[in-house]
Amino acid sequence: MNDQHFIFNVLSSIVARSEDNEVQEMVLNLADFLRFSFGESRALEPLARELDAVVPYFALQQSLHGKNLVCRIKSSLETRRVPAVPGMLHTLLRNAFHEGLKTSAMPLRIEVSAALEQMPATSGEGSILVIKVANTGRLTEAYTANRDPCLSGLRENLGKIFGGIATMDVSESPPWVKWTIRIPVALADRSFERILNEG
Amino acid sequence: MITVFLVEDDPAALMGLRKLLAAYPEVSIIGSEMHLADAKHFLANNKPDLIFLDVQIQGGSGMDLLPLIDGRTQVAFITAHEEYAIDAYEMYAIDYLLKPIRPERLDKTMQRVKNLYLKRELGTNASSPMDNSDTEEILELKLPEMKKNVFIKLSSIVWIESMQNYTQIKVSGQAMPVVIRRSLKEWEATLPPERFVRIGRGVIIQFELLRWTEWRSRDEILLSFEGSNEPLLVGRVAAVKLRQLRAKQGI
Repeated sequence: MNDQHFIFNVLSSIVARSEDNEVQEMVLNLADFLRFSFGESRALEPLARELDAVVPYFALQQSLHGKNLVCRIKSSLETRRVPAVPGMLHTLLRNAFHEGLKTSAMPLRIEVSAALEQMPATSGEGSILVIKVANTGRLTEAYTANRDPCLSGLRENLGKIFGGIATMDVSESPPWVKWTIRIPVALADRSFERILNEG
Repeated sequence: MITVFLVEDDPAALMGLRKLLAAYPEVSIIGSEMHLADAKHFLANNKPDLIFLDVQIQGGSGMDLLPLIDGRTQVAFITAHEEYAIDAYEMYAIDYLLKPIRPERLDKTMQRVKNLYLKRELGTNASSPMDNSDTEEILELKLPEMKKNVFIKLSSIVWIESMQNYTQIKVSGQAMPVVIRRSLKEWEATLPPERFVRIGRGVIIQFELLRWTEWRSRDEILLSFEGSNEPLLVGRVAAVKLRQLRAKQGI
């Protein structure tokens, strides 16, 4: 059962009853993040939807981990409209927190970036959406052996929508572990149009 | 003073809204009701400037109050569920607020309300792009991919950007652009040319809503609009076209 109306009314009531600013802010962030999590989505959605949800997510994580966590997000404006796989960024983030908290020295650092880069001359014209999620820590076996069902699911989804042209890689450069997703923008636009056509 | 009426059926949320509105000395709360019938009774005898209206209230829907509301009264919907608001918002409301209400989000609503009342007090007759005037033209957009139609006030269209055979429409106050199957050319033929201008190949803007421009690089310019928090990035051709338009209008 997912009675969103009830949930947001309860959260609203908690905010109104609380005199504690920190509690109010946590509940407001939780509401923002839940609204993103509950939202229905198509196979592709503008990246803005996910980027906007990173802010309350980071704020909530910061409330939980305090000084043991340093988060940073950097995105260029032109990336916001680019169609991307819903949940893509948050799958990588969930993983970064999970693995980072196990393997990183404190404070754990998590960084997210979204930018457009020019396509290499050999691959044609246009730009590529480059999403990076990095955490301090080590590259564990769960990463490399593709054992995480969420990460495998994301990889599969990217393959299904973009036919193997979008890439998803992980690299380690101590103390950082970095996931990178690359999606050609023209391909994302075409795929989005196809999805809209299919209704 | 801006007279305000609150319609909200959760006592705690009502108290929270009163607390948030206490930050605005220009606001006078003249009443609050939790039940539809009581709210109807209040509105039969009072004409507040602004109503904060919960969409789901005891005894029915807050929407049932709309026929009783005078054209000069503004409505800000409060809802726990985005979908309830979006369908009605563009037709009737000055804004909609999602529960739980963020103080900074309420501040935007109040700025909008204050601007509107300031213009009224000054007796400005010129139509404002944010006005809910009775003569406002409303477009019905069919969204077959979402299996619904939405109504959008012409004045709330901030910009329209081409996506091949589709266009995405930025509507003031809404976070996400609406995507529909209609080309920019079709839009150009529909919209009044004295208000909407095509700049460059892929963008139509409502010129009156443009607030500032900023060069980001040699080939890119950011456009900021009233009713939109997020600037729009356009290319050099659009920037040149804008400069020509401004020169023509002596801005």
